[in-house]
Amino acid sequence: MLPRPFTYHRPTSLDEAVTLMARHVDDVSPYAGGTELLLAMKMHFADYEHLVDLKRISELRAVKRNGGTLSIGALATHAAIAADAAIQGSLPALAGLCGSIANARVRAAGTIGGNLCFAEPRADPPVLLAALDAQLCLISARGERHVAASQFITGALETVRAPDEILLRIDIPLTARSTRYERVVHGHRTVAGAAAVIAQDAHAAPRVWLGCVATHPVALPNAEAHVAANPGVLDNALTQAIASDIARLDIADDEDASADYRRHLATTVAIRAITATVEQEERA
Amino acid sequence: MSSIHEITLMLNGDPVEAAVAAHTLLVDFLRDSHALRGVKRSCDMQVCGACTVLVDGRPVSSCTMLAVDADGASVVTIEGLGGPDGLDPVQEAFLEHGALQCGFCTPGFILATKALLATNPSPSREEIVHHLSGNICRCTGYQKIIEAVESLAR
Repeated sequence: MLPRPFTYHRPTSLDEAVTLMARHVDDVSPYAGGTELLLAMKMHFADYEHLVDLKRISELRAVKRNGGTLSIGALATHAAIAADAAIQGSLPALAGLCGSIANARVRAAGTIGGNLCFAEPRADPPVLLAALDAQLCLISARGERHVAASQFITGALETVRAPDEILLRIDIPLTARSTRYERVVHGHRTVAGAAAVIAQDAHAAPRVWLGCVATHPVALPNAEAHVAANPGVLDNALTQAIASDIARLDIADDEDASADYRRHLATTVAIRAITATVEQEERA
Repeated sequence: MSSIHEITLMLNGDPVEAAVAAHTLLVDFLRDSHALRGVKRSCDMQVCGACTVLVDGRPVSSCTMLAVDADGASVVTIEGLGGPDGLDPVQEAFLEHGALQCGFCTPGFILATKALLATNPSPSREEIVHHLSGNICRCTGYQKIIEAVESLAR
């Protein structure tokens, strides 16, 4: 199917993009790789009168390391992140994940910012970025604001981004000592994904996040508390802690997995992610 | 009404100027306006790889890219490979290894292979399988396709 007709805008500066988003706020979407947005528009599941293409604003693609923070422009493609030497060196879990999203064509076009803003319930990067405590920087005519990645997505295809806001960049604090994302993929969709992050600072709480299971990524607080209290211990109590977190989630049957099977997979990937960080800790 | 945009691009090495409606998909622009029928429309959702073309050397699903996005780019379809002097080495390798059955997926596989070899001239078998995992062959002739690509690894 074809998308319904729309007006296409191609600003070459951020100022121009912000102005266009404000002018057309009633019916506008930022447009980046299009791998999700165009699909939704082709299926007439989403319609916008105006698309503001951000791809000609080169500063939105930049990847920089500023001291202890890795800053990734929202328009960086999955392929660019996977191939970036600074990201491979400082956050191999993110580079590895971006190198295995969907397929080579989606990785060549799709962007990390678009992935976050579209908030598809089966997307992997938002889970890892929430566990890493990434901060998102958004801009509109009202100015810039920062939102934690863990607070950004609020439901299926729902975020706290205002209709005229543009995601500028993702700032990731490089405070983790061990990081792992584990997932199970059926066909081309992730059925369950879990991220575990152990900080360099022994007093900082471990973070365990689960995604691709409920409508959006969620923390597993009982699992986090168990890992904090029993570092390096992989026992039945850990499995029970994870299971108790997952039992509280509202999980529906879908075409990829029944709710029961998905709960089982969710527990499995969470254990695998935590186990991998324990192994990384032992090697460190 | 969609907005209309003047675009210029290099299409299989030749300069092209066109006016396109914003909602025109690249696959339709290539097939309908330029009769490049080696670009296959199949799943229409970026899963199968049959509509793969190269845009500035990168493999993309032309079913999910706007024609206006190709403005200023170099686009290569299967028709742009080879020439009067013969086939492209990737096409030769597919022929030699019998890496096609019905042929519907073949343009996409060959262009995906071109993209892989451009960035990684000596891919391992594992890297070949990973890179081509987004291209689907419903005749399931994967083994010979992988062997053809392996034969090109330097």
